[in-house]
Amino acid sequence: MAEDAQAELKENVLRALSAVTDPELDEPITDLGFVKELTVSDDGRVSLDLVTSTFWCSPNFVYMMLEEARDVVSRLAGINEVRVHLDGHHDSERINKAINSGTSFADCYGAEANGNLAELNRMIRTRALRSRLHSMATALSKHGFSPEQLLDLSQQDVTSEGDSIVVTSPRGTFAISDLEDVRRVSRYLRFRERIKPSDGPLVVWDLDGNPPKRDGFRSALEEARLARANFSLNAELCRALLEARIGSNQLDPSKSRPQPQP
Amino acid sequence: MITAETPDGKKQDLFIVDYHFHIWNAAKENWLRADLAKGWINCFYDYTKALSPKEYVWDWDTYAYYGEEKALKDVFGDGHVDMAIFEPQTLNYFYHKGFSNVDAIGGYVTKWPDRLVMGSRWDPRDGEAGKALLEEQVKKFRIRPFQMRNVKLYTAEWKQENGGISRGWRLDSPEAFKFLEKNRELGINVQVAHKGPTVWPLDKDAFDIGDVDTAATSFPDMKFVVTHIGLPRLDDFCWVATQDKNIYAGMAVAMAFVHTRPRYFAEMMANLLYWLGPDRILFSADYALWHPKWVIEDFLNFELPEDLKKEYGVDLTMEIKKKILGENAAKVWGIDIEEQKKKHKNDELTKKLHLQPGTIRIGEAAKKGKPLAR
Repeated sequence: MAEDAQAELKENVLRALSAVTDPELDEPITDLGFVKELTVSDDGRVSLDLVTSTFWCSPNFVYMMLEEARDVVSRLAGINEVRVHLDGHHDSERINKAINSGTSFADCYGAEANGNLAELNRMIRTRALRSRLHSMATALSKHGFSPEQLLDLSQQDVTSEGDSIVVTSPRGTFAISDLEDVRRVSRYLRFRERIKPSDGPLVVWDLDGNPPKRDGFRSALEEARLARANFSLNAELCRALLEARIGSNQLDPSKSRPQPQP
Repeated sequence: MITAETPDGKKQDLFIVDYHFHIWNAAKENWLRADLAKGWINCFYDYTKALSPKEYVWDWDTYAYYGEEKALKDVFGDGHVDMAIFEPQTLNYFYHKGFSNVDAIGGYVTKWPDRLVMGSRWDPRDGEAGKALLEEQVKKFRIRPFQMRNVKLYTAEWKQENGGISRGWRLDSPEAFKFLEKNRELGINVQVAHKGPTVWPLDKDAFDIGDVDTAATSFPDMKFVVTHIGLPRLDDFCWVATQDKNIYAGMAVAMAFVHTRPRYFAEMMANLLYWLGPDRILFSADYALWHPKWVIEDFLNFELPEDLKKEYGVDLTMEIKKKILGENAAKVWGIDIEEQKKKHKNDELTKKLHLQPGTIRIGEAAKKGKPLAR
C-alpha cells in the first residue's frame, strides 16, 4: 500500500472514532483524549490504545465504548483486523480479552451481571438526546422561538447551509450563524438523524421518536437542562482527571519528590 | 471560629461543620492487593491535583498517610472548620487495616469528642456479626449526643465471598433493610450513602440512586445524605431529592469545582438551590482530597452569576452560605451550635493549636466564571 493510502486509511479510522462518544459524557472519545495511540498497518490491521480518565470508570460503560470503537473501525473498507487495548483500568485484562474475542458483556461477567447492556445504553442515550435538545432549544430561543413553537417544527424545517443553520417556520426564515449556536443545533440534529422516523417532528423525547407532550413541555425542558448540566459537569471533571493522570509520575510512588507544603 | 465580613461592612459569624472528613492510611505497608490499593489512592491523588490550587498539592508519601497531627492542624488550625464528621471507608479488600478504619477513628474521637464526630459503617454482607459490632460501637462511642449518629454506606465495596468476589451491594436489599432497622433501634439516624463504580449486578448503572430512594421512602424518619450530590448522576439525585424530603445533598467532591471551574460550580449550585432549596445542602472539603482553607474562602467569595440567578430564580446569599457551611449539618446531627461554641472557647484543641477567632474579608471581585459553550 502506498504511503498516501495508508495515511488516508488512518484518517478514516480517526474520523470513524470521532463518532464514538463516552456514553456517560456524551462527547467524542477523540475530543476527550481517550485515544492514546493508533497504528494502522499497510495490510489494514488496526491497533488502538485507549485510556480512561480514572482507574475506576464503570466497567459497563467502558465496555460499551470499546465495543462501539471496535465495531465502527471494523466496518471500514480496507480494515482487516482491529485490536483494542485499554490501559490503566481496574478490569483492563478481562475487558481487553473479551472485546478482542467478540465476547458479549453478559458472557464476560457471567454471574456478576444479569445480562447485556441494552437497557443501560437506552437510559444513557435518552439522557444524551434530551441534553442535546435543551442545547438546541437554547440556541433557537435567541431567535424568538418559544418551547411550544419548537414543537410545531418538523425535521426538514431545520437545515444546514454552509456554516449556518437555517430554520424555516411560519414566523419566517432565520439563519443561525453564531458558532456555538450552530454547534448546539448540529449536535442535536446528528442525534436526531439516527432516530426514526427521520421525517417526523423536529423535537423528539425518546429513542423511538415519540414527541413530548405539549402540556408540560416546559417542565420537561427543565429536566433536560439538568441532564445537560450533569453531562457537562462530568465531562469537565473527566478532562481534568485525565490531565492530572497523564501529566504525572504517580504510577511509581518511589519516584515522588517532596513539594512545598501549603 | 471565623467571621465573614462583606464589603458593605456587615459581619456574619460562621460555625463550620464538615460532614465528610478522613484520616486515611494508604501507605505502601498497608497495601493488601497492591494494584487495587495503589489504583485507589492514585485516583484520589488525581482528583486532588485536578481541582486544587497547585500550592496545596502535597508529595505522594504525605498524601498517602498524613496522620492525626497534620489533619488537626490543616482542618482546625488553618482550615476554619469547627467540627468534622468522619465517614469511614474501609476497603478491606484493598488494604490490610482498611483505608480508614473505624477503630482508629474511635481513638481520635475519644481524644477530641467536641471537635471530631464518630461515624461508623456497615455492609449487609456482614450479617449478624456486623450488627453486633455496630451495637458495641454505639455503647463505646456515644460519648456526646451527636456521636455515632451516622454510618457511611459505600455500596461499591468489594468483598471476598464464597471463594469469589462480590463487587457491591444495594441499599434496597432485604439484608440492608435489616441493618437500617438496627440503625433505627440504635438511634443511628443519618445514612451517608456513597456510590462507586461497581454494584451488583454489573449490567446495572452503578450510580443509580434508586435504592437510596426506596430506602428513604421506607424509612421516612431517617435522613439520607447522598455523597458528591449523586455525581455522575446529578440529574437522578435532584429528581429523587425533590420527592424525598429526607434526602440531603452532600457536597464532598462537588465543592472543589469552586476554585478552577467556577462556572460549572455555579450551574451545580443553581440546580441544587432550584430543585432542593437551601436547607438540604451540606458542606464538605472532603479532606485530605482538598484543603478546607481554600475551599471555604473561595466559597465565601463565590457569587452566582446574574444570568443564572435570572434563569433559575435562585440566589446564594450569605445567609444561605452560612446554612450550607454548618447550620444544615448541625440540624441533621443534632449539634447545638451555641453549646459547642462555648465548649470550643477553651477546649484542649484551642489550647493545642492556639486557635483564635479570625475574619475573612469577602473581596469585591467575586468568582463567577463565563457562560459555558455547551
